[in-house]
Amino acid sequence: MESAIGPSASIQYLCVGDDHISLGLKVPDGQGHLTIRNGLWAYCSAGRRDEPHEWEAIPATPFSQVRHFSIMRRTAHGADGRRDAQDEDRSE
Amino acid sequence: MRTARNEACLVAEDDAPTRGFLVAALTDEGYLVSVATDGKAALERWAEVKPDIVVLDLSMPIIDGFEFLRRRGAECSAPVIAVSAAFRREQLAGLPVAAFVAKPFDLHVLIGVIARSLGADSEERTTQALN
Repeated sequence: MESAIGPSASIQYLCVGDDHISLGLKVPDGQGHLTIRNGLWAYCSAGRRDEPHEWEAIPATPFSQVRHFSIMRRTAHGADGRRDAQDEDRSE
Repeated sequence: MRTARNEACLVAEDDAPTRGFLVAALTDEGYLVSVATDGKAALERWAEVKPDIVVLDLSMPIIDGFEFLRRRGAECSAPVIAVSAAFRREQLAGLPVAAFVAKPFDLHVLIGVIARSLGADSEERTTQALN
């Protein structure tokens, strides 16, 4: 069996909904929900695939370095992340 | 569309944005893409379409990717590319999988794996025909 060799893609959106951040603290790192947003990988630490997410663009981050306890709403803390214009995603 | 490959690819993925992304990319690569949103639908689509290759998410509702692999058994010669973030390739031991690609994957990596798997499958079929 072949395995993909080389670096995996980075996470470029995180779900920063308050409820999902809180729920994600009880979920092991890496066991949340991965999806695609605007052609880029997005991650919800709560793993709630069927609920609306509040996506926030972040600097490209390797998936292995995403830690649930460190996910926060960057725009509320003056960090360099930027809210996506359509971050209130109610389409899913 | 870059090329007309005329190879049928079944994408079995329950996450709609990921499925749409894969369909667009593989269609652009020239594959004839069909989709399934869960493992049961994947079995049905596989029987209808007889795809040349399957991109299979392992975490799906109703019937997951592992059960899909167990049920399709040896009757499908098409290579299966398993994709997952939650599982590791070691957990696929003994199941008919051509390749494993971990999420989040680089699209170009996945497309390369698909092309190589189809190439290897084509070579194997040619060898069998010659023998």
